[in-house]
Amino acid sequence: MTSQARTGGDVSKSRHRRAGRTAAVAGALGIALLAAACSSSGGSGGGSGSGATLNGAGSTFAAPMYQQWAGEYNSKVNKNVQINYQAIGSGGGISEFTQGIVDFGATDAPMSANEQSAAQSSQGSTVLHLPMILGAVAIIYNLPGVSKLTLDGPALASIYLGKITKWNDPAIKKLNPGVTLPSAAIQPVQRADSSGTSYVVTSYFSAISPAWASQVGVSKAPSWPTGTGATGSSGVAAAVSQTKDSIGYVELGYATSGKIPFASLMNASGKAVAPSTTSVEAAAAGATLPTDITALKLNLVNQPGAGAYPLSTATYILVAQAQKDANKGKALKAWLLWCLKSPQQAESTKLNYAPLPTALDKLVVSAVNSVK
Amino acid sequence: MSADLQDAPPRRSADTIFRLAVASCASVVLLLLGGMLVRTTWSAWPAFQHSGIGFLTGTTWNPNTGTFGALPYIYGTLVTSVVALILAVPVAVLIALYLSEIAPPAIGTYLGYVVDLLAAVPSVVYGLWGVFVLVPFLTTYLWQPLSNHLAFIPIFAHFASGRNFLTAGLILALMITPIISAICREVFRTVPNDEREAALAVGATRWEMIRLAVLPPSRSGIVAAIMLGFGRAVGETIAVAYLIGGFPHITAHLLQQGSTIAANIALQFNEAASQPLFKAALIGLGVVLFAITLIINVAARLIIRRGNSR
Repeated sequence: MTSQARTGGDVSKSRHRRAGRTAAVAGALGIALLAAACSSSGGSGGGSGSGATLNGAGSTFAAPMYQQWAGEYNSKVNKNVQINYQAIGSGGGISEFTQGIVDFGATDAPMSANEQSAAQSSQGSTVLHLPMILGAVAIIYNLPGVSKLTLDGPALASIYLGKITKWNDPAIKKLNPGVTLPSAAIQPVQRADSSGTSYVVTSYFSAISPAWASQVGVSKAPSWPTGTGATGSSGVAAAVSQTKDSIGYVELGYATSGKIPFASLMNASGKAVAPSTTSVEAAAAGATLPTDITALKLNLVNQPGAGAYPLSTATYILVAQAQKDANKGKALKAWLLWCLKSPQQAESTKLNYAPLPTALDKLVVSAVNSVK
Repeated sequence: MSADLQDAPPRRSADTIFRLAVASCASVVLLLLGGMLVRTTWSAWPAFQHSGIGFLTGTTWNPNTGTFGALPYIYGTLVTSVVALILAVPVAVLIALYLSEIAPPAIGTYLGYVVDLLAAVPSVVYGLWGVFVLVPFLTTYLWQPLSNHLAFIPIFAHFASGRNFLTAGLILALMITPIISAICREVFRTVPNDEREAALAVGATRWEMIRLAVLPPSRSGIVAAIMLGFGRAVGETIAVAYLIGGFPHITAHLLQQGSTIAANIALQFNEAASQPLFKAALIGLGVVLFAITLIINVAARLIIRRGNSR
C-alpha cells in the first residue's frame, strides 16, 4: 500500500515538474517572440514610434486631467507609449521625482529653492517647471439652509487663524446681506498631508493678511493654528460634507462631483466671483507671465480684473532638461507637446480646469523643445 | 573523514547543524534590531542636536521654522493607545474565555475563525470605514450627546470635531481586540484539562473554575497578548492618520483633534525629502516610537516576573 502510494506520489510530482518545465519554456519563448515583435515594430515605426513606459506621480489636483491625457495618447496617438500617473499629492510628486523613482513629477506648488537644488543635483540637470493647465481651489462649506455664501480673503484667513469663530461674525454677515447665518462655531477643515492645494490657499492668505504671513506663511504643509486635518482632497471633501458648520478647500472638480456647495470670493477688484473655467481664465489674463523658460513659475493668486477668481493656480509637470534615457526622453517630449496642443488644452474645461493662455502655451512649448 | 563519521553518531552532527542554523536565524533578529536602532539614531542625530532635550519636551512642531517639539505626538500616541487598551482588553479577554471555556465546541470553533479573520483586516480598510461610516455615526450618536450631558468631566468637555483622540482610540480598540482575543484563547487552551476537571470535581462553579484554574496560569500569556495589542496600537498609522484630525496639541479634552507619532511620520515624510533637518526630525520621531515600545515591553516583562515570583 505504502510503496504504491509513494510511487504514485513520485509520478505525479515528476509530472508536475515536467509540466512546470514545459510552461517555463513556453513562457520564455513567448517573451522572446514579444520582444522580437516590439523591436521590429520599433524599428519599422521609425524614431517617433519607439516604445516606452513613462511613470509620473504627484498632484491630486490635476490627476483627472493627466490620467485622461495618458489614456487618450496611448489609445489614439501612440500605442507603444504607456504613461502611468499616480496621484500621491504634490509633496509626494516632488519627492519621488527628486529620488528618481518617476520620470516626471507633478505639483501645484512650484518647487522651493531647496527642493529645486535637491532635484537638480540628483537628476544631474536643470529641472523645468512646465505649467500644463490652470485650475481653481473652491472654498466648500456645510451650512444647512445656506445655499449662497460670499467670503473675502481677510475673513477666510481669520477663520483659519482662529480669530473668527462663529458663522454670524459681523465680518461674514457684512458680506452676506439677506442670508441668515447660524451662531454656530465654524469648523475649519484642512489638509493634514503635504498638499499643493494648501500651498495655493496659504499663498492667498499671505498675500492679503499680514497676520497670516507673519504667523504661518506660505507652505504645502503649514503649521495650522486651528482646525481639523483630513488626508487628501477627497478626505477634506468627505470631512466637510459630514460635519455641520464646517468649511474647507478642494480643487473645484471635487466640489462639483461631490455636489458640495462652494462660496464666492471677493476678488482684488472688489467683485464677488465664483470659481469656474471663465473666472480662472480671467485671473490668468491679468497675471504677469514669466519669460525665462527654465523658471516658468507663475502666481495667479489674487489677480486684478473684475471677473478674476482669487484662488486660481497653475499646475506643473517637472522634467529634467537633460534626459538620462534618450528613448524615454523622446517619448516624454512627444507626449507633453501633444498635451499642449489646443484640442487637448480645450478638453480641460470639461473637467473644470482652464486651458493655458496662448502666450504661456507658446513659452511652455519652447521649454519642452529645450529638453534633450 | 570516515573515521569521524564512525566516531560521532550521525544524529549529533545533525543536531549541531540544526543548532547553528537556528541560532544564526535568531541572531538575525538581534542584528536587525541593533542595526535599526543605531542607524535611525545616527540619521536622527542632527535633529536631536538641533533641538536638544526640547525634542522630547517641546510642545511646538513647526518644520517651516525649524522647531521640533515631539511632546504633542508622544501624548497623542500614548492617549489613543491607552484608550484603546481600556476599551479592548476586557472585551477581548471575555471573548477568549467564552470561546475556550463556555461556548459549545462547534460555535467556539467558527466564532474563533471570525475573530482570526477580523485580526487580518488591513488597517486602511478600518481607516476608510472609519472616515465614511464611524465618524458621522459617532459624532451624532455618541460624542455630541456626551459633550452635551457630561461636559463637567474634562475628557468630554469642549467637543471640537468628530475626528479626535477618542475616535482614534475606538478604532484602535476595534483593531486590537481580535489580536488580543486570539492570543488569549490560545493561552487558555494550554491550561491542562485535568486542572479544570479538578476544580469542577471539588464543586467549583464555572466562574470559580475559570478564576482558580484558568486565569492564574494564563496571567503572563494575557500580559503578553496585551503588549502585542499595545504594540500594534502605538505603531498603527493609516487608520489613525485618517481619524485623529491631524492637529498636534496636548489637551485633557479628548473630543478634540490630536495627532500621533506614526500618523505624523506618514503625513509629513513627503514634505521632508528635500529638507535634511526635517527628515532627521521625522526619523527622530521614529526613534522615540521605538523607545516607547521598548520601555513598555520591558515594564511588562518586569510586571510578569514580579507576578510569577509572588
